[in-house]
Amino acid sequence: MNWKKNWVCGIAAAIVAGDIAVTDATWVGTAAAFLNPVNAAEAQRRHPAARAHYRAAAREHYRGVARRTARTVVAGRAVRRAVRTAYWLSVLPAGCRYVDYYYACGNVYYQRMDGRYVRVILE
Amino acid sequence: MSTRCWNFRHGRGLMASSIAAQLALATVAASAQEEDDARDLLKAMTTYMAKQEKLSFDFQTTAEVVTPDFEKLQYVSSGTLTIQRPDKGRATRTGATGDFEFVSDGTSFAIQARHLDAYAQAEWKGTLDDLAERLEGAGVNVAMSDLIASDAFEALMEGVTSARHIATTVVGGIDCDYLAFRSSEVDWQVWIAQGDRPFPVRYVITSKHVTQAPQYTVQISNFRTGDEIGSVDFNFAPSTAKKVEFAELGTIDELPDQASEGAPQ
Repeated sequence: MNWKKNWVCGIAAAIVAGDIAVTDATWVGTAAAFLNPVNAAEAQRRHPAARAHYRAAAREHYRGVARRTARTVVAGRAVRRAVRTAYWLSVLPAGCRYVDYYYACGNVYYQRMDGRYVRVILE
Repeated sequence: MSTRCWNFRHGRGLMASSIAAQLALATVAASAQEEDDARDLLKAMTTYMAKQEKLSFDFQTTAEVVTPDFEKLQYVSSGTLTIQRPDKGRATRTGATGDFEFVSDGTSFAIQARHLDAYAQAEWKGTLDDLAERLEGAGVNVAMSDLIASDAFEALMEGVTSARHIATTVVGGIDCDYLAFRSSEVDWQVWIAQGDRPFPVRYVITSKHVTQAPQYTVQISNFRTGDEIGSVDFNFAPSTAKKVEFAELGTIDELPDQASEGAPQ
């Protein structure tokens, strides 16, 4: 399981994009937990070709970060289309969460429209 | 006299109403025209990009963050991207978090952290779109996928509430159409090269609900396609670099750790 997570962390560099945005702070935390600063430091020492002058950025606390995609993203997943259904509720069930413009009730999503919650299918 | 006055006043009122109505209609028509034009231009750009089997460009990105003290910082990265659809790509990115190279040769995916002289590699088969989708499924945004994905138009237009063709202008010496779009979460702007090669030259996303509305900017230069690129080796050759686990490469994002994506404040 760990290798899968590490692998995902790795491909996060995104060959398609050249650069990426991490949307899930938990994911970052998980990735960070795998990091071994000793190994990284050793790798730097062992290879004299490494850039000795490279200065890593200081860690900063962020109040806000610019989003790096204009696409609709729900819970880290890009949404191509949100199809509204005819099904709606006046009141959401308990436990629903507001996630990126939609209300997630388990695996079911609702969008607030005209004072009610319309079920949408995210594609 | 009074009748003439009445007629005159009445006539003047009617004329004013008529002019106002015509102006309103003209404004509505112009607005509709602008909106249609913006969508058409974006559609042309995304279709053109998706059609290019092989494309390459240099880029500079600027990712803004706002600190708890309301200081706005810009993390600037520079790099290159070359892709050969459906499954090959090579990119470099140098910025505040390191000097990276990303390679997908169709059977494997690798990241080299040049500043550490280390790399990580894993098997991977699938299209570049698949790769982006898989990353997004893991909660990772693939920023430039907005511009080069094969279904970019549909993905970008989802949730758009306003589309406007603002102007024609020049960016980096290239004549461009300047478009602005709005959605519930972000506003975004794109400058598209005019002519028979409508590629994106500049792209700005504004997180309008985040304190101080930080922006993410991509500026593209040296755009080439097909034979203009020449032969590209998509095989990964790490030379003397040490092989490590992906996680050991440290932060591979363009922002240092501690990124919590723009939650509304």
